[in-house]
Amino acid sequence: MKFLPYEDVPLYLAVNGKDGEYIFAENATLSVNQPLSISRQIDDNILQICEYGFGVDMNYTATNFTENSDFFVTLGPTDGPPRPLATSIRKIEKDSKITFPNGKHLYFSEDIYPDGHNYVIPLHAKSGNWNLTEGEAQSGYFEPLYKYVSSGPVEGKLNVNFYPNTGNLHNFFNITGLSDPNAYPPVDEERVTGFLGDFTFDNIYLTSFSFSLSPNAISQATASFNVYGALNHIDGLTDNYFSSNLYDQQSVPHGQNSEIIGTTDLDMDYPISFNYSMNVDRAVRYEAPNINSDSTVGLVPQRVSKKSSNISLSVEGEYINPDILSDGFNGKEANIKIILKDLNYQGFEDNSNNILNTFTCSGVITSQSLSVGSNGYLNGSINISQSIQ
Amino acid sequence: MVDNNAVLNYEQSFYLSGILLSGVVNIDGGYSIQESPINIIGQGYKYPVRNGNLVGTFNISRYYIGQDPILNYTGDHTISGSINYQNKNFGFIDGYLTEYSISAGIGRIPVSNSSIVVYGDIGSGINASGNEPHPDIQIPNQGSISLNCEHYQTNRVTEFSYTLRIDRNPIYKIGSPFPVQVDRQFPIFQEAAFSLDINDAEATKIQEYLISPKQQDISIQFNNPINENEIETIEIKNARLLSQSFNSTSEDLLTLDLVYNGYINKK
Repeated sequence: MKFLPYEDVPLYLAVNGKDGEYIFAENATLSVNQPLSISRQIDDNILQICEYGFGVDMNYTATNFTENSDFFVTLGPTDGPPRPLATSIRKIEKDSKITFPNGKHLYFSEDIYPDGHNYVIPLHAKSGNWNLTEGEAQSGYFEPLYKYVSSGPVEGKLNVNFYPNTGNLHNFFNITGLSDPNAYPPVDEERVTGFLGDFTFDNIYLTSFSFSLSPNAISQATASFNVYGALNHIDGLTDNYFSSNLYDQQSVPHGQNSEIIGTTDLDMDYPISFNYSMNVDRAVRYEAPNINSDSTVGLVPQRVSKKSSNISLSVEGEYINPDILSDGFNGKEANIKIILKDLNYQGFEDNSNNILNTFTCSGVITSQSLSVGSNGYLNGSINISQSIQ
Repeated sequence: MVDNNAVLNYEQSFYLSGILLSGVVNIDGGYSIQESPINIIGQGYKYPVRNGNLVGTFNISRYYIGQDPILNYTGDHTISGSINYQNKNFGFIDGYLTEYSISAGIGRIPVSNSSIVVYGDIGSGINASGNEPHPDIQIPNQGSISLNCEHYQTNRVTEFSYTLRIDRNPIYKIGSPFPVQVDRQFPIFQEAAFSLDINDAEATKIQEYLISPKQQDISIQFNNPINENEIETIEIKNARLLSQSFNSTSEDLLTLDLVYNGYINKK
C-alpha cells in the first residue's frame, strides 16, 4: 500500500442502472460510521469470592495464599448461590489485577471470555502468607473489556466539492431531477452508485446541493450524500481508468459574469455574496435482520424515500427594505434567478461558454438582517425559502 | 526623431489627469493578475482561472518644486495618468492615491513619492494628456522650510519625512469585474520622522509614556525662498511621539531620530 496522489483518485457517480460520469471535483470525502454503545450490567466489574475451589457448601473460609500459586474460586455472594461473570464482559485479559480492600491484590490466571457459565475461575496470587476476610472477598474490583452493541444503522457521508458544467445538472446532483423522465408520480428515489478510487459504494442518496458566488472568484458547488451499507475495496479498479475524454469539461462558474436577477425588487442593487442550497429530508426504512443469518439484511435500507425538499437562498448587499417583513402575515414573495456563467473568454478554448446553468428560487422572505463593524460597511442580508415538495 | 531603438529619458513625459508633470524622477506602474489552477481529482491540472480582483499600481517619484497637484486627490476623486513616449502611451484610469510622502534634508531639493492603486483599466493606449495648467514652480530649500518638532529650537533638524497613507476599500458586486464603489478607509494615517544633530536634546524614558505620552500638533511649512510666499503647509493634529532612537557612529555626529504618528478622521 502507498499514498495515492489526487490525480490518480477519480470519483465516479451514476444513478443505479444508468451510465455515470467522472466528476469534475476538487475534493471528495467519503466516510462510514456505525453508532455503538457499551453494554453494561450492574456490578459487572466487581468480583465476589463465594468459596475457594469448586463450590461445595457455599461456606467462605479465609485461606492463606502461597507465593506464585494458582487456584480456583467459586464466584458469588458469601452464602451463595454461585453467580457467573457478567456477559456484558467481552474479555478479561490474563494477569488483569483484582483490587481488594486494604491494598490486597489477586490476578486472573488466564484470558476469560464470559459466556454465562463462568461460575468457577482460576486466579493467581503473586505473594504469600496473607488472606482475604469474608468482607474483603466480596469486593474485588477489576477492569474488563466490555461488549458494544449497535444502536443504529451503518451510515456515512460522501461530500463532494465540484464545478458545475454547462447544460443540466446531473440527476445524481439534482434533488428535483428524475432519472426516469416518465416516472409517475414524478419523484426519484433511485439510489446512486459509484466509486472513489478503488472504494466502491452502491447505496448513496443525495441530501443537499449548494453553491455560493462571490465577486471575481471561482464558484464551486457542494453535494452531500448519505451513504448506507459497507464500502468495498476492489484492488486495481482504477488502475487503468484514465482516457483523455473522461474530463472534457471546459468551463467553471465564476462571479465575474454570473447574474443574480430579482434582487432589485428587494431594493438591493449590489449583491456582494450569495448562497444557494437545496436540501431534502429522507426517511430510511430497514428490514429487521435475522440474527441467525450473515446476510446484509438490516445493513442496507430497503427504501430511502423523500420527505420534504427545500430551496434556501441568502444574498448579501448594500440595503434591505424595512417594509418587507411588515407588509402582511403571509410573507413577502421573492423570485430570484441565478445565471451561472464562466469567464466568457473570446477566441479561447476553455471558459468560453458564457452561460453554464440557471437556478431559481421562488419563495418567501423568511429573514433579513443588518450588520456593521469597524473597518466595514453596513451590509444587509436577505434569506428566502421555497418548499418544493 | 532619431531612430535609436530605445526611448530615452528626455523622450518621455508623464501626465497626471491632464497636467504635464514637471520634476518627475522615476515612475513605475503595472499590474499582475491572480489565477488559480483548476486541479481536479482523478486527473490533475486542467486550466487556470482568474481568482482575484483586477488591480494595478503606479508609483511616482518627483522633486517637490511647488504645490503638488497629486495632493488634490487625497479624497474620493479618481486620478488618471499616462507615460507618453513616441506617440504612444502607457496609462491608467480610475486610480486612487494610497500613499504620499515627502522627504527633505539639508542641501537637497525635497522629494515626494506617490503611490496610486488602479481599479480601472491600465495598459498601453490609455492617454491622460491634457492642457491643465501646472502649478507655479517654487523650489523650497532648507532655509525656507519651517517645522516644530520636539527640540527643534536648540538642535539642528537635518532631515525629515512626512507620510500620508490612505487605505482604499473597493466594493465589488457579483457580475462585475470592477468595483461599484471605492472609499477611503478611515482613519487616514500620518507619520512624520525627524533627524536631529544633538546639542541638548535628550530622549524621554520609555516608562514616562505610561504616565504622560508626548503629544503635540506638528506643522511643516514650505515657503518660496525668493518671496517667502507659502507654498504648502502640512499639519498633524495631536501627533504622538512614538519612537525615539539615538544613533552614534565613529564617523558622524550624534543624532536623535523622532517619529510621530497621527490620524485624520472623516468627521
